[in-house]
Amino acid sequence: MDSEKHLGLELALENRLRADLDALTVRPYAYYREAAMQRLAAKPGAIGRVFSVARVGAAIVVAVLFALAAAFALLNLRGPSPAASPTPIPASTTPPASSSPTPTSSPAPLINVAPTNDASVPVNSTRSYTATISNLSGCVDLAVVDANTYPGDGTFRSAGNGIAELSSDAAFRSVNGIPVGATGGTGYFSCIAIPSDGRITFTIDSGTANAFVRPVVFFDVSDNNRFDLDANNRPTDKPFGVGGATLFN
Amino acid sequence: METLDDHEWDDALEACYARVLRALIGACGSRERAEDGLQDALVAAWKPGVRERVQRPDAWLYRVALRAIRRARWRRRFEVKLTEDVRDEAEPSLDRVSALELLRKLTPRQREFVLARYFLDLSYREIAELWAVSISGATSTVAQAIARLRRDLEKEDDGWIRKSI
Repeated sequence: MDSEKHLGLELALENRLRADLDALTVRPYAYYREAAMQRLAAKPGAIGRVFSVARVGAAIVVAVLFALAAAFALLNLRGPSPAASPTPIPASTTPPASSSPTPTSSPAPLINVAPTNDASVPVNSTRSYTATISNLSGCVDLAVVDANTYPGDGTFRSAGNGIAELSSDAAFRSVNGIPVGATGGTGYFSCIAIPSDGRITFTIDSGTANAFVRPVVFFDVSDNNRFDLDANNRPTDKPFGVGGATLFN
Repeated sequence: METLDDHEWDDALEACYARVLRALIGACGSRERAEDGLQDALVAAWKPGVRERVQRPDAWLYRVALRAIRRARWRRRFEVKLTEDVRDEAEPSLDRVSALELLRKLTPRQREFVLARYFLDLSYREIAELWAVSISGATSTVAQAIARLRRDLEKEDDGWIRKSI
């Protein structure tokens, strides 16, 4: 049986260890004791111990300084962390080319949102839009505003503190073909990566009768997840594009 | 265990040092390193406050010496690399010890536990406490060592073990 074999081997091993190791000659105890006592006497005194402790302490301080320097350098390389997104980004979107997107220098960056015509759709139906983005890298934000707050002269209605008033009457239903917000959707999307062809498609819908809204696609310059306005209620988050108004009835 | 005075403590160490040294030779395969480790352990044994918390001097010496040997091996790693081609005359008695041949088949941890269990007669509980492992961990390490030895020995058709089982 295996267990018998196991025990047999243990006994055999024990016997073999005893027989062989006990046959080894060793020096008298006094020899080792004397050597140990000499080592004990040679141990550093109080001053030596203080120096040892100081040496270890200095090594630790240097190591900590190196670690801090490395962490600092790493953080500088990565740049500031982006602000927390108020809404989730669709999982399959491509990550932005850089965490701190910047418009390319020339030619001028541009965002166009089509269609631009006004239309009516039934409540709980969707309307599709396509944002065409050029000369811009990184990501853009998507928002919905009340159509009446954009009179077409380039101004938006301010909600105070230099922020445009957004609408909660409509929500994005899909971004780049990916359904979002299965229960109710969301009226704001932060940092949707700009694909290589510069086109972002999305749909909006509303369960509110007579909701009258427009989608806005903009480059969030200050990365604060707000559509910022200047003193004249003109966007400072540029470029931006505004889609045609949709009336849900 | 009541606190021993210097003389009693010295007697206790003397009573077990030879067995511990042999176990150390088995564990590290070198008389020189085993003796160094034992001396380090004896130095530690004479420090104040040690004897009060030692239940079994042999087990304690073995554990402390093994630690010292491991530290010394780390310190001497470069030296070993430089001198490994210069073959010192091996201890003749060690080469004849077939038990050491057996132990070389095991990992360092398995060797330490096997010697503690079968040569120093430590219980699995004592091994677990000294090495800060669970009892089941100590048991399984020894069991794995035994299984490994059995596999190797069956391959080699070792006579003495076949007779034993």
